[in-house]
Amino acid sequence: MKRDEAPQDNIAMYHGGRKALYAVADEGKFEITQSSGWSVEEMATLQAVDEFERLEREAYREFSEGKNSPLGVWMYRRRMSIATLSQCSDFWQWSIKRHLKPDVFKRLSPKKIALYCDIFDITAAELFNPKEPK
Amino acid sequence: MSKAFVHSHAAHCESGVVSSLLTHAGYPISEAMAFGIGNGLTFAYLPIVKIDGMPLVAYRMPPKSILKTVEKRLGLEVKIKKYSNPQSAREDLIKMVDAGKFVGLQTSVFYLPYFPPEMRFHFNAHNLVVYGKNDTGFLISDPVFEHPVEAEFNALDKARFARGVFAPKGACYTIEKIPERIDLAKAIKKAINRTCNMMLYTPFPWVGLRGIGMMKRAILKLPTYPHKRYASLYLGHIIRMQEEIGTGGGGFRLMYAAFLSECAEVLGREELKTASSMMGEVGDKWRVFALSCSKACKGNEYSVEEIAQKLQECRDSEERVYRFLKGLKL
Repeated sequence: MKRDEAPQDNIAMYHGGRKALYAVADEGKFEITQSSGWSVEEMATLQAVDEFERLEREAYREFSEGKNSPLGVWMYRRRMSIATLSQCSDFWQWSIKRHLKPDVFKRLSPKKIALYCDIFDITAAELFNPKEPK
Repeated sequence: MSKAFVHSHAAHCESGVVSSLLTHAGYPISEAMAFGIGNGLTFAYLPIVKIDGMPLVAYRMPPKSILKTVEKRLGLEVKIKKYSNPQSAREDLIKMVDAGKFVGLQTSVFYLPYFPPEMRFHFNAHNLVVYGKNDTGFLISDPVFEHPVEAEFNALDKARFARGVFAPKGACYTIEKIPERIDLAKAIKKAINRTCNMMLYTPFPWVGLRGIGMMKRAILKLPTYPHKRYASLYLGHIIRMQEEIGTGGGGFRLMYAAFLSECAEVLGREELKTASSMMGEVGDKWRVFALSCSKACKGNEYSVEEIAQKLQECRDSEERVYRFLKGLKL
């Protein structure tokens, strides 16, 4: 990649920032070049963000229909999967899957609720009643 | 050590922090050089280790390995500290900063307030340098940002004590001592040979060139998955690991090309310049590969054979570089 070939797609998620890329400068040497982003990278990142938002909306729909506990909504809102949440909480993945059921979630001990609140950085009231996603 | 801090913009967080700390400790070294002698370059494809349901794809060595390898190669003395609670970690950091030290930290990207919201994911091994403080928080030189940034005390506590894989546990490190004589040429030779050996002759099927082959076979199997979305997310995941902030483009290959061209000057070997431009072409090939993956993600018609072919070209041209470097008998 030559210096003038470094992508300058002005991608929105950099919010005007730029990142460092290595490109061939004038004397054939590789040097750091500022790039305002590459649309390929933007597409991939937004795809990952969209996927979490889609899962969050789905979890919210199931929560409002009473099929799912609010835990799922917060999990995806904080961009976590069951595996990530399991690593953060030290619960087994199967226990988290159980906590996703409304009946089980209602009966969770205050200690476990407090741990989830700590992980998501919210109060217990917020944990039980998540706002509708945008 | 109490001189002013100069922020420099780097491509990758860990090599950027190592370069910045070493430079301020009195041994000026570029990011690419730190990355190269730290054996940062690799390829690994681990289908068993999942990140949000996707296999782990890495173009560089695991976190902390650059720091530790550079420490070993140059004979530095690096002090790494971990803490059991945020309070003592913060107090200790304030003490170090007040003493005029520049401190490297391991943090989670998700909790860093100055990161754009779209780019916050649960990645626990982001490195940055704290070089001072004001009334509300710490002054931070984050190598992947163009300018210095700030983070409030509480926010940084959260980022330093994130849970999960690679949990930082407040890890912070300072360079305590640099040996009087450093044999850079020797460190370079060792590092290049080690990287070549790892890429060419690894016994593990998921590392090095063999790992690239494994990813190629996995891509060829994508059409057999029942969910169409999976293939799209899978290819998007590969792009993110390769091109998202912190790689310098082309999955670190372009940064390694910069390293090789610097080595040519240090060792006085013209052939390394050839190796550098060969590696530059490898980086470009990886970018072409990412481009063809992105076309597939957008839902256009695509053939996995074509994508796999692009990947094969990356693999073959990489092999040529490593064989060439081995042939130099450094």
